[in-house]
Amino acid sequence: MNKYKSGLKRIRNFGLSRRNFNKGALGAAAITGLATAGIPGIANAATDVTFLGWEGYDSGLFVDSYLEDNDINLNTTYIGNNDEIVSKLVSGGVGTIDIVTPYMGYIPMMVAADILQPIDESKVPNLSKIHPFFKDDPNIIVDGVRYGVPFTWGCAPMMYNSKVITSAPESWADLFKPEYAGKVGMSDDPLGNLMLAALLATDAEVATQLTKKQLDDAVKYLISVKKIARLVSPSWGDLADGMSRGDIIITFSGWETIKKFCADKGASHIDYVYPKEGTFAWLDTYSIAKDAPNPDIDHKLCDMIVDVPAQLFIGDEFIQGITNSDAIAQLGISKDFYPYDDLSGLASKATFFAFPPIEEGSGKTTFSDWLEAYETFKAA
Amino acid sequence: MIKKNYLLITPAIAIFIFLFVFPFIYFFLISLWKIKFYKLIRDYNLINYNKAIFNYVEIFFTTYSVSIPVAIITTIIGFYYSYLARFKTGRYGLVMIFIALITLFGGYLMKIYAWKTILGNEGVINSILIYFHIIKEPLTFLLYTKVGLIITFVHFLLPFAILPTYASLRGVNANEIDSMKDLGAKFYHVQFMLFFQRCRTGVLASFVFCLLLVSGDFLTPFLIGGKITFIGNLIAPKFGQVFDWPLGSAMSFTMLTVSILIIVLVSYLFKLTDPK
Repeated sequence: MNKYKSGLKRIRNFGLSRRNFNKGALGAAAITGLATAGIPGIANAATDVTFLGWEGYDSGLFVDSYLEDNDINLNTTYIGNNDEIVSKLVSGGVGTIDIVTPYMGYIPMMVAADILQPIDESKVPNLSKIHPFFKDDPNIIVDGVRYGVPFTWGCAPMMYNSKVITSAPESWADLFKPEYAGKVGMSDDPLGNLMLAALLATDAEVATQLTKKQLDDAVKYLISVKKIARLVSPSWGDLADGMSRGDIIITFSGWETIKKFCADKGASHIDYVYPKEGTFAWLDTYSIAKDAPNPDIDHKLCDMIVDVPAQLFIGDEFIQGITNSDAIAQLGISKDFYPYDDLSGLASKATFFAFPPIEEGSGKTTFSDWLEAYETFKAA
Repeated sequence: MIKKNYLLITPAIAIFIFLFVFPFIYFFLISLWKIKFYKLIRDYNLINYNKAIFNYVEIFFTTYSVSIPVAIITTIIGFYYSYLARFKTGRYGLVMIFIALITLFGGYLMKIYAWKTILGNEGVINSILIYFHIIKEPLTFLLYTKVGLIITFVHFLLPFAILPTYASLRGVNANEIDSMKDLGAKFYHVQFMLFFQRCRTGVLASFVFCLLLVSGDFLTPFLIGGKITFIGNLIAPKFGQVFDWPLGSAMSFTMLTVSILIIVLVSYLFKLTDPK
């Protein structure tokens, strides 16, 4: 699907000189004036809708012709991590950005920072089709008000090379087997890494509610993983590259879709497993930025992304977890990648964690403390 | 006449002031502020510099443990490449310079990913060595290590080292070298004189280019460095993910100061080679 086809405008430069421009402008004005006289609305410019989110998260919007039919330009800016959404909105993005796609854990913090606007549920009828396991996640609904439409999810399993590791690992502790030393990969994901490390190396009841000591223990654990790691990857794509090329054979943290990335590179022997200690899960949402220029269109897009066609596209083309129950029932190849048959039992394998505290005072470490502590891991 | 000259350089000065001096002052001021819940607070203090200097010593060490060797290796290779192009290859010298420059058209990211393909476990080098039974297991020190970083950086930076040294060597007359040889100078005498004295400006310019570009880089260590972190890898998130512009600015100015100190030291060492 190319962007021209999907309704985005192609701009061509005809090498205008000032003289040609004047001639052309006069002619165009005359023709436009004649052609549009008495036809209200025909001369309207296209509407620009600004999208800030992960690459591919906009693709479901092009499944039908809504954008094209309504002459909407979707201006996309892709992010490298969720924090970019926050930093872009607080540094001048409010009032210019329409749709953002934060991880559900970020939403309470973004609401506190006053950079999101509530979702009017009456304008998102497809919300009723979202599986109850995802629909009303407590992070998405702040003080009884909805701030996100959950449309995709996933977990952080352990990826492994089944050619080299012939029987699936059972525990995260398997990473430390001597034969895997120097062949371990991990992603450079502060929140995900610290959550998983807290789950494995601390006695915290909730992996995002950590005391200073628990945070230190989590960082120590991460450093111990880094010692045996060969690659701390900047992106999932690079982690998949490393797995496909055989540079690494097992990972700390991962993503179900990496299996598809690897298969696309000819490495169909890359598989994943949920180790017995469990892992974390994530839920991404369509949210509307505060003072978004096109709130009505934004609500329509929020509805479209959880409609069956878009969900099937996200599920089967991108092998991402989807949330619409009707779409799940119709899924094709991607159905086996996720535990759709037992979504309620997913909680025993992977947990949706709330975001760490954002302000001091609760006795727990804040997200700023986490980022600072993570630098110790980076420096190690 | 003088007035006319001033007029001619005014656009250049204006661009320099708006695109370099003003942002420089702005970020210096920011480096003295602080951040609170994603908002800049104009509270002048040196806390960020305290953090930048004392919290990141190991990272600075790692960064310069790669950037200094890269700057030295690239400058030496660049100098000898320029020497060959200037004195040894006759009319093909310009072709050599053109070949060096054309590598710049390739794009930075493309080169990084090309080296990943070449240096990886199943990359070109390991595949050839395994095919000819020279090794049994892939050489893992080639990728995600300082070795891999140095190889990638040297390849990328070579044109930047060649240009200034070649420009300097253009100012050297071949007769000067012949005269030295006639007076009994050996090959290494000639090279020493050219490298440290006659082409000092060009050689130092190459060194400075390479040192600054590597010290401030964050993409190459991200993609080739495996688990190696450069100071740039911690500065970049400060302007995005972490949103701590004051600390990021302070770290940038600290890095700049360290780099300038290294450049001053190297210039001093070059001066020591001056004839007494």
